Amino acid sequence: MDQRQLFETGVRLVGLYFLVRALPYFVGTIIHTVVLLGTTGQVFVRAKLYDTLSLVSDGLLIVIGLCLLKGFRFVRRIAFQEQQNVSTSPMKEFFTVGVKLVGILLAVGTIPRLVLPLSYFFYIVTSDQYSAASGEMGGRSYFVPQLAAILFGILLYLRGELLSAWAIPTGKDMENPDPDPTE
Amino acid sequence: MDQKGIFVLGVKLIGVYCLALAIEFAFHIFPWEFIRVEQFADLAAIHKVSPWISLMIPVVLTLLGRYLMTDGQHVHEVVFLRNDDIGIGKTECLFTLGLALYGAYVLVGLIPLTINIIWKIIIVLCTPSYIDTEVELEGIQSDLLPTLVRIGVGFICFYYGRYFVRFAFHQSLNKEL
Repeated sequence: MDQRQLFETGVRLVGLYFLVRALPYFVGTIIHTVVLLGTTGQVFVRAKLYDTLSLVSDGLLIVIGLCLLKGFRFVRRIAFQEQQNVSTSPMKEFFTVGVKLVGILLAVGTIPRLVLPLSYFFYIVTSDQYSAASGEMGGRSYFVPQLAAILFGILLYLRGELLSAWAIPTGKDMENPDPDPTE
Repeated sequence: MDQKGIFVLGVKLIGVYCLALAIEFAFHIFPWEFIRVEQFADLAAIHKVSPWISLMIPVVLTLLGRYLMTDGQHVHEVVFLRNDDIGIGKTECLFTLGLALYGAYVLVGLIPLTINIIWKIIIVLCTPSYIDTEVELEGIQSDLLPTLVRIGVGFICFYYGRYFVRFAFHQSLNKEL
């Protein structure tokens, strides 16, 4: 199995993981909404913004999961856009694939964690006056760490080779990375 | 690639995970934690040190991530020395190494919480009695036991994965014997 085949298999598994992760919440929210609509005539009675963003993030996760599961060609093309058929050690190839998959997991997996601070942020931005309550929420609306994690994930996905070059120098014999201590 | 190569690869990927965690925590602590402390000018001195202690989290994670990615030889040695007597079958050995990797993943993920809990305990012990430490105590009460259990599970998976092998592959081992 070469690098690209391995990546495709990994991407499909990651897609399945996101689908399994997001589908129960998505279906649950839809059912909850339908029940609310039937009983109260309103959608998302209490935390409208948060509920809407949660639904959007779950929907996004499902769409991304389906795209990855389907194995769209552009996912692979973007990941290996500049790479030619350069012969490198198998360890380096596998590591690059692993880094790119970790990148996808990190970037997409952080989206649900972005929802809560983002909803607080939008609440503060859209509120008419900067009340004491919104002042307390300043910390909760701080979404930079999640954003940084997503950007780092995208970087790993696009340029995982940079990390591979650092972790596995070309000159090192990667077929036998360490002397076996049991021998 | 042999089983050892797969394990080394896994350890390197855990190093990447460490770096990702470090970046997220670095942005969480700087500048927000520092701003939060500045907002409360009447805090005790020990609370004002908190952001600097929290900065240890990304530093430790970065150093650990760098070590696991570029070297990690001690980790390899510990796992291979402890599991040198497995060798019954490829699947069993792979399972043990997978468990060791899972244990390492769990332990690495608990570093931030562990540092936080230790710091909260220090705060509770060192703060004068007239200063309220209820928030720290609540944090310790809710986090200490689950974290200790998770550390225990991670440690067992990392060090004693072979005992799980005997449990998981009981039938296949009996057949081979």
